[in-house]
Amino acid sequence: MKIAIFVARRLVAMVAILLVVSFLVFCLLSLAPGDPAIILLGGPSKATPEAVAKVRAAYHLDEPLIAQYWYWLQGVLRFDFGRSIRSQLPVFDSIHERFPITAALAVYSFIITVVIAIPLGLAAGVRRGTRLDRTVTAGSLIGFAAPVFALAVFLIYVFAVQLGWFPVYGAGKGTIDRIYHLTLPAITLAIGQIAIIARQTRAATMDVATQDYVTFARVRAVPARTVWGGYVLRNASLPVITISGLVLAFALTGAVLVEQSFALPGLGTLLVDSVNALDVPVIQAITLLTAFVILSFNLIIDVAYFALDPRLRRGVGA
Amino acid sequence: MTKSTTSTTSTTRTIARGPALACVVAAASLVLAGCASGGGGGGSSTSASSSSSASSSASPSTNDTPIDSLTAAIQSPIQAMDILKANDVPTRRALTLAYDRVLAQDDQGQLQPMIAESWANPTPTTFTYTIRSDAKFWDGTPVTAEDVAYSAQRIIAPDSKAAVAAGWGSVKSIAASGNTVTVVLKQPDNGFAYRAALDWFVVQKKYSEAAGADLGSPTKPGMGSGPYKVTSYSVADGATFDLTGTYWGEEPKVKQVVMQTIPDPETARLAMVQGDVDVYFDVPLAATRQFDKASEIAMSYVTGGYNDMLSMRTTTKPFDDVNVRTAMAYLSDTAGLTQPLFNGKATVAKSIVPAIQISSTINDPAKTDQFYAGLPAIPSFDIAKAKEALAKSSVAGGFTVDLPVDTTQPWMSPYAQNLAQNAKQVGITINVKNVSPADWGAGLSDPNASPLQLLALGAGTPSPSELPPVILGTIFNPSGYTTPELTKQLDALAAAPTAADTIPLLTPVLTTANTELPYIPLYDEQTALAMGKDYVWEGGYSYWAIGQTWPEYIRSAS
Repeated sequence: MKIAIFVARRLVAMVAILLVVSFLVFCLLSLAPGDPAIILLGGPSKATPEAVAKVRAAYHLDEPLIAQYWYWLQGVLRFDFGRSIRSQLPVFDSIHERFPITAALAVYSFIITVVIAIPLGLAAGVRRGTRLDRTVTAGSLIGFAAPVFALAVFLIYVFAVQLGWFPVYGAGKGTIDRIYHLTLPAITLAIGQIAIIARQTRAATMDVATQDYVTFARVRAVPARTVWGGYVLRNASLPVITISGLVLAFALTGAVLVEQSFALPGLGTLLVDSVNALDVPVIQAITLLTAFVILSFNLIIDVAYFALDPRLRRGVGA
Repeated sequence: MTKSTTSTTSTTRTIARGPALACVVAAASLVLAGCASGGGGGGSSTSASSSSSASSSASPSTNDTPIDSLTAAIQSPIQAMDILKANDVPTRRALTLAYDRVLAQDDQGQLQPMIAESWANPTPTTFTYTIRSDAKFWDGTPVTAEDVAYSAQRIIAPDSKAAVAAGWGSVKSIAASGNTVTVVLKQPDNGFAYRAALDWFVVQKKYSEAAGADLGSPTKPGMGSGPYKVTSYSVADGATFDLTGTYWGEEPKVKQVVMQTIPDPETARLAMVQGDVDVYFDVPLAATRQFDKASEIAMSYVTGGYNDMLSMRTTTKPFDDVNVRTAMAYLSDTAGLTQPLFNGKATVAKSIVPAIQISSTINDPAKTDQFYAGLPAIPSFDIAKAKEALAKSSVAGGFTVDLPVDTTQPWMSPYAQNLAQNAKQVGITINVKNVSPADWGAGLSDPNASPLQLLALGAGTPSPSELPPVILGTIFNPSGYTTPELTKQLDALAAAPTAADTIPLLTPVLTTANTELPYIPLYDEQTALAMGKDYVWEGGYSYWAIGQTWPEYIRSAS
């Protein structure tokens, strides 16, 4: 019950933060240099007096800023972010079309990351100073430092062109085809993520592995699976969950370099192209979506803490 | 045509080329080009130094075997299947498959019949088009003069937001009567003739009015009369076009065209090596080195209408002083940077008019050389002479100025950095500022922006009179340079009845431009096309393919 109250409070705070973010996002149009009507039309060349009048009426540009925000917010709550300046298509449709690709890539790369990074980090942390630890540390450094676009080209050349195991580009159609197409991009994205999460897991494990209760458990011949899985991993999981959640949240908002390299029509590419073209309605929508995703994941992480650590549950109850 | 994703500036007819990611066709045919294409006439897979035609001259043997499916890649998405909503070059590559134009352009950019079987220019302000009787839309209904007139009326409608509308600014009225469409202009405009080939895509009035604001969207892609109908379209996934089988003209040999977006040239190259992509348009010139090495790919390089310039606002100090402008010309190592910036696939520009327009109009290499020999030469790189010129000016001690560069146009930043390094040696400090394409485009016509700008333009027509009246006139003139004498010369140029008549009128205009240097001409860029070795572009690739139903030229290699 007390956890439910905690979650409810966090949800209220989340809504409040989203409102503030939405106002700042709305103000992007006013902050951009130039007349908002001309920006929304796509430039002075399209700004005939009649077109300007129409846009000013449609977007309530002659009303006070707070009134404009209210009309805009009402649209947002109906998932109506207006039309893209570049394509004239509804912004919602553009995002709706691309989000599944970005989400599939993010989830796929996350699964690969977790399956590889956590066991590796755990092993490295437990066997500190050994060859395994040094290999994992060096590998993480390389994975973190390697430029994504170079990795992408390398993987495409080896696995798509030379070996022909995977397609060179595209997102595929249908579930199986999409998984097939997204394998190389997911691996590319996962390499950097594995580096981060493995290092974090290793650091957290090192701290826990030297605790007295772990030593006692080992001395008392508690099975290794229980010691490392139940004791060490669970106690080391809080920072690992935190960083994993944030990694997934950022991946969900678009991994631009991977999308560009594999020609994936995702949200990252849409955002960069929209910024370049000053397509404000699209920028507003993606920014708000990003804020929502990150806030949601922070909440999920915080709730996960309670599931993992009973001490925190008692802390909330106190 | 603007290659840029940036909006066209003001009512300029010139359009700046944007990044290779989105090329927008400029209203008045000048394109702000961001695409790293350029073209030079002639020369297929070898770089054309001073070619005179816009076509490459490849001639491997071909056959007429039908091609079941061809995959073509472009660098940015097809934004909409409607010219009013999107007029960038990648979008046009798709529009020309689905929609006929009133007139077509041949490999020299000259006008040919299409939906109009004939046309006339009975008075300087009247154009009449006789519409063919056998053209049908995909739903079987005939293409009428009313549909044709409607297709243009919606461009010039008062609330039209079309970027191409700026090129129709001289149009007073468009009316259909019987099988004829008559366009009446407010004043003579010899550039208007090409609008029928560049922008006048024929759509069905009934379908378009019913679709309303959704016309050109994935749910309402449109009703055209072109050889291909739109089978599927989405901005994210690309489009698939299939032959209708009922086209009034000669059907292309390619039964299906799949158009996909691949922003990264290296990915496109690997996809072509693998055989997943058959054609890649507008390969960025800086990336062509790797394409040249791939044995599975045949490259075509043609000079077209893409030219680059350094612009100086002559109404702002210190660029109001011709000695300063001359000094800047001496500081530009234009020839030396051709290889690093464009892989050698560009020529040093000799005037502000794209070389292809002069060479294709004169149509005689010796006479073309003679024409250029009669113009003052643009100063070439010489630090000592730059110092001398600056010493004669009002700012002999040097000055500081910003130079905005569009981050998505690969050549701009290295060129600007090099210019800044050279300028430092004579006491001029150039602060290179990276800006977005939108800001770059906006800065070109903002009187409060930096007086020093880089311009990237692209021609839409073969006529040499296209550019000077725009960039030295009143519509889009970043340099602000004008004199009463020059204005008279430009009016005469714009009113010249044919392209050939423009040549003698060009000499005084370009003499002034090359002497006063409001713009320092830099490069005539080439355009690069990559094709898989299984296919051939019949007759050789042409810069004017942007306005053609290009699958008509694709054949299987024998």
